[in-house]
Amino acid sequence: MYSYTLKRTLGAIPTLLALVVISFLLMHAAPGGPFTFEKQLPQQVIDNLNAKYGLDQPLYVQMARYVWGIVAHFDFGPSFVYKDRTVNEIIAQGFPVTLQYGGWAFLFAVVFGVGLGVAAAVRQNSLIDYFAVGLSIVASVLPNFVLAPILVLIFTVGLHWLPGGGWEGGDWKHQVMPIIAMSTAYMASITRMMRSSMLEVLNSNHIRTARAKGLPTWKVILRHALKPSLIPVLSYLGPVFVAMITGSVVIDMYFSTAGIGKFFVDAALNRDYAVMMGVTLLAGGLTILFNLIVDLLYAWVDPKVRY
Amino acid sequence: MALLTPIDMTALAARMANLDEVKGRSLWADARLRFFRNKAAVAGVVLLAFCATYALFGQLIAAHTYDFQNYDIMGEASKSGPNWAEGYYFGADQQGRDLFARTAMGTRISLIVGLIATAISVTLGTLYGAVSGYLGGRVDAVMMRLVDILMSIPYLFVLILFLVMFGRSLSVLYLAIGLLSWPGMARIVRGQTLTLKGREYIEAAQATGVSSFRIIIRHIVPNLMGIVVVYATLLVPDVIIGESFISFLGLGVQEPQTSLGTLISDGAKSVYYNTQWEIAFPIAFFMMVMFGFYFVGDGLRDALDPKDR
Amino acid sequence: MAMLDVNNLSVRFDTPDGVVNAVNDVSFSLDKGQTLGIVGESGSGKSQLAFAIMGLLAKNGRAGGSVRFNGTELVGAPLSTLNRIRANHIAMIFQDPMTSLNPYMRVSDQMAEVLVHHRGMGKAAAVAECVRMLDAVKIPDARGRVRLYPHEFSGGMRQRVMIAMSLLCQPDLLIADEPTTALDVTVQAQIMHLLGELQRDFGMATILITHDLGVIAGFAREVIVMYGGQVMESAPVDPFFARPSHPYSRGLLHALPRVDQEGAVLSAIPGTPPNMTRAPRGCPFAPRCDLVMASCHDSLSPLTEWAPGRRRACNRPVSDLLEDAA
Repeated sequence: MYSYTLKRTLGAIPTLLALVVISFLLMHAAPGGPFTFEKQLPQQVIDNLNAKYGLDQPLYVQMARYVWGIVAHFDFGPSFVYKDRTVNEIIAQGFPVTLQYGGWAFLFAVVFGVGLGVAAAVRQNSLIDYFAVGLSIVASVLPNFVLAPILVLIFTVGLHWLPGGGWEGGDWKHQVMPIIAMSTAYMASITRMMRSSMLEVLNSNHIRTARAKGLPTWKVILRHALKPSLIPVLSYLGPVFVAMITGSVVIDMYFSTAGIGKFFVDAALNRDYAVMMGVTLLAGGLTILFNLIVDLLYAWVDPKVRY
Repeated sequence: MALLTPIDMTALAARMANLDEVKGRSLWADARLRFFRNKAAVAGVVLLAFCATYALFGQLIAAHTYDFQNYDIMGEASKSGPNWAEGYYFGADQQGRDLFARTAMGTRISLIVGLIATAISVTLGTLYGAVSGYLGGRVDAVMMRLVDILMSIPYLFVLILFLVMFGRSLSVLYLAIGLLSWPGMARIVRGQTLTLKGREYIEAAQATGVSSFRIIIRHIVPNLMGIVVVYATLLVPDVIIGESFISFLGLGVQEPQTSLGTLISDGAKSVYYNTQWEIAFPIAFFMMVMFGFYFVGDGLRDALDPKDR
Repeated sequence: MAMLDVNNLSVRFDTPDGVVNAVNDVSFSLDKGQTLGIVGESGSGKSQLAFAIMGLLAKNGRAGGSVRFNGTELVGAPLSTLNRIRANHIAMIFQDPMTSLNPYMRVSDQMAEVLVHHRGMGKAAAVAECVRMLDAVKIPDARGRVRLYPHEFSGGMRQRVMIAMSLLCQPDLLIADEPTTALDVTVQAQIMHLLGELQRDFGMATILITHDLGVIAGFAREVIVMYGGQVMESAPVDPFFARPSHPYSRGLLHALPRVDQEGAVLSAIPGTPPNMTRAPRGCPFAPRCDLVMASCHDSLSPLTEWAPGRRRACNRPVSDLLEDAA
């Protein structure tokens, strides 16, 4: 198991490096430098700025520096727009917020998705099954940017139950709508996936064996059916996790929640490539990390995966 | 978010690889029959036909052009609601523009972006996957490693990056989405190709010295059509979600042009002003388009899937 | 009263293509320690018959008639009643040992849970008992291998695990549903030999379901021949093999290679088993029968005892067959 973990971890490193290099090259393929603004700056100023940020160096030197900064110091360099702040500071400010509501949204999607999917499969063609299927169909056309205004319309404008925005240090009332808006569509996908995979597992031979042992239904489900039916869902967790980070772009814009998404959009509007790259790389790195965790979970769940 | 999960697709691919062993009526005729027996699929076709008609002709029927600003009703919630007498069937937005015409334009742009980007993505993904799967070995390993890397890139962030770098325009939008969303297709097509590769007719072609390129184009790709069509149908709504997401942030198509995402964004900003029509109509069309594609895609999958006979 | 009394048992499945009549009015009884072989082609309903006894039919299946086990009615019984009997009094071995064991659990865990559940044993004691049982089914190094996962065993070893698991509670009745079909021929013989030994040692009644008459000959005392969901013939094994009283049984026997008749030509029964979606009318075997009469397509005489212990369902008088055989 340990050697397997080590092998998978080492295997993720080239992916990570490739990601950094590709992003760096992309950043430099952009027409116009980072200091191309609407109003033309004097050439002297641009040269000075380029020198300050090391942009006058050959490309490979810049790349080596950038990659080395990230690998050795976890340093994404200075922001091109906020002169006094580094990308690290911006990430440090926005990321904890995103991780907080994103984490809850992730948990919400997984727990409810799995629970509802299992319930629907176990009671196939019952009321709860129809409810789960219906909900998952409707929810799949409700991405965060559609659900968010609908929620505000209901809970803020209509019922005056919840505040329509702000963060307030993570007060739960400010988190409810962001979490629901982010997680619902993914909960729906997980429900559907879980339902169909559970139905398939329940029809498998080893479940018949478990029933022939005289085990009560709940034991058959929990001990024998749950684990194998979770396997397809596992591979979906990576994309869901990423969606919780990228989704913060919409949530931060609409609910003013001051997460990483807000900084990303600000950076996009200001052509602050350094911040955009930093955030993209961090999200990409987390994706790779998360896929690694899922891989290890696979190995743990499925004894047939070779170490 | 698609109704079809990657796992479903793999299973489907495995079954479709065996399609040619099913005897009787031709596959496509049989599939057509089953598709039209499926009520949800037919409802999906009707929904899409309705949305497409509206997208094509809505602006012709509209009483006002999409960019005409009526200063009499601008910014006044009480006057800008749906009003048939004045020709504002869906009401007007904050700038006093006709929402009927604007929603028609938004639907049209979203559909165009969805279809073109999907076409790019499917073409790239199919060729890449077919080549990778057919050549196999080390080439395949390297090509799939690249797909792995691309799939770990946060797609929406990079999409925004593209738009910032290359300027915001419709063509950049669909090119960028198309260029970013093909790896999923490539993976599925590769898997399917691997099963096709062992077939006798491929071996026969190889034995008679047909070039790899010709085998891929003449023998592999045509046999991939079923799964490609299903996947493409289900990719369109995902692409539209991506486009709307970008437009919602104000990074997509530019004023006075509009897309469903932009309209939803405008409507979302004005939910506090009691102008619910501003958000209701764009969301309604967004959902109809989504449902339409999902139902049709699901129907196609079931129709092309010989399992349930 | 016999231990197991099956009366007019039938099994129907609701499918999109209509109702499938998998089993029609099957009756038999079995006493303690008896061995019964049920033979038939695939699709003859023999496996569904076994599932119906255990209450393990698929969701769209319904059982009718009656199955009484030690006086308890099992058809339509609540799950709690069935669960007290399953594994504890009636155990089952399934056809495919590759998929019938839980691939995600260690053998020790999936075996021990039977004892923990039915006997209230502690985990450690249960595992020790499992090792003992694995020894009994002749798995070498049982103590070391009990911690392995099913995929780490070969097919034959897995079926031994399956058998050991079914015997843990010393059941009164063991139902073996094609226990050797998925195995290599040499392994088949070993497993059947083992089953025979265990049956004698433990003394449980056994129903052996198979399509292989050769297996029946070496194992069972009684035999039931099924076709198209119906019983065609039932008899003690020895007279059955000597003088089959039904055209279908005779066809089966002729299709069986025999050591004592070297050079004899094996004959196959022409045609294929019937489509079960149509309600049975007449004899299901009529289209393939070499002794078919006009009346066979319309009606089939009910299963009747024509000699002590021997029953048959056929419109032809028994003399036609016996003369023919002689």
